[in-house]
Amino acid sequence: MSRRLTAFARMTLMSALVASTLATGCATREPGEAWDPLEVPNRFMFAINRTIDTFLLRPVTVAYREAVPQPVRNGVHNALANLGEPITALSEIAQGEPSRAATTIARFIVNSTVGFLGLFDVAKEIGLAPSKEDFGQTIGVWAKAPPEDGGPYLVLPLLGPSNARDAVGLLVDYLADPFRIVTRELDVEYLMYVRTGAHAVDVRSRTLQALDDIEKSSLDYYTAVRSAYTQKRAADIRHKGALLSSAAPLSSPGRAEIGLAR
Amino acid sequence: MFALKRRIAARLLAATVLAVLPTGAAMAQDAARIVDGMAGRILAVVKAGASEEQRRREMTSLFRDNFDIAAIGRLVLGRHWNTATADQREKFMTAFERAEIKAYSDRFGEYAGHTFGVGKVTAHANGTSQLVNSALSLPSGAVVRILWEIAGGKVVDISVEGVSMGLTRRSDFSAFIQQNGMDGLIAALARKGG
Repeated sequence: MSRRLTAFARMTLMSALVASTLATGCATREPGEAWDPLEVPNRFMFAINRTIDTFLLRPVTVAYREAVPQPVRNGVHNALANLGEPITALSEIAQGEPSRAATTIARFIVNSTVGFLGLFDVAKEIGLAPSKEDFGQTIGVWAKAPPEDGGPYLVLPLLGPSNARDAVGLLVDYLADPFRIVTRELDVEYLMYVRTGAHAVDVRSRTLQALDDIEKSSLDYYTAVRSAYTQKRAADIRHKGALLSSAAPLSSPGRAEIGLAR
Repeated sequence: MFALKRRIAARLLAATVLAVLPTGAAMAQDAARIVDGMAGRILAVVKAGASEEQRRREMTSLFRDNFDIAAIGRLVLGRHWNTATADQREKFMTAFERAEIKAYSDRFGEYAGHTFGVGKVTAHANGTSQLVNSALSLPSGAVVRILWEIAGGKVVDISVEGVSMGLTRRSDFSAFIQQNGMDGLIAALARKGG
């Protein structure tokens, strides 16, 4: 019951944010710049998240990278990615990419069985290339707005950089996630926490170098992260139906664009 | 690496054959050669286990030879370029160049064990520049897509997995200028450049 209430509260918050977006309209900003009317609370949340990262997530991630050998880490990543395939498939259907969705479903079946609960990406070996889509991207594909414009930029507690579009997407992904529904029905909800924890460490271990780089080379870390997040999401939305870069051949079209407007 | 060389050679050959047509193919060929040449130099330095000092020296010459620093500096300042005095512009350029070279040479120090491949070259929608696709393969098996924008034979922007370095810098600098002014930015960049 309380979970439903929280979800409802979140939804209301989102609607309020979207409404305020429409009411205030666009402030003056340079083209390609993220719109951030809630910058003060966002910076506050960013600082809290950063503190948690510094004292908890980052040390755990560094220890994980040092203690666990690469093949095992790859296995963990594969298993987590496999649990994300149903959401990718649903999003691909919603984006009007049925053949990509079929490949994703085939990948999920092959990897969950032959790939031993997704630990091994057998599907990739037999020519079923991976892709990754979510509902935030789907809204971006549906929307008439340019993908850089996802509504007001938001820094979510623990989850980090987002915007109105992607926050709604996260909520839908959470509600539609078969893994969440099944673990709740079977009364093994702790598996959901295990997965969330593992996912946090896996994602962090893959962004360690990039985030360190941004932090070191930027003057205003908050703004640099906001810009990078907005651009990355926009690129992912533009390349709907594209393969993950580890699977796409270098000669494949559709990756040729660059952000600097002139 | 050999397969890549062969692929590049094949593409260069194809580009040469097509060169009878317009200058587009020749431009693409040049753009790919610039990126491939730079990557070769960087990886050679990393592989040789160069010291930080050597890396920085190599990066400085590489940067000056291949990057259009004047164009990049102007672009990342955005509208603040117009309001800056001539003296501020000059000081900004010097500090910005040093800071960028430092950032790139630190970055490349971590590239041991990585491989690099150059792919397709396409024309930018602006009609004046070429976009060179490339990929950096990490030891973990992850692949990072890097797109180079080349205009007039020089690099004017780099985009990593869809994130433009120029655009990120422009947002970053713009926020910093609003807080600390142009002179504050120049001083902060000078500190970064070390």
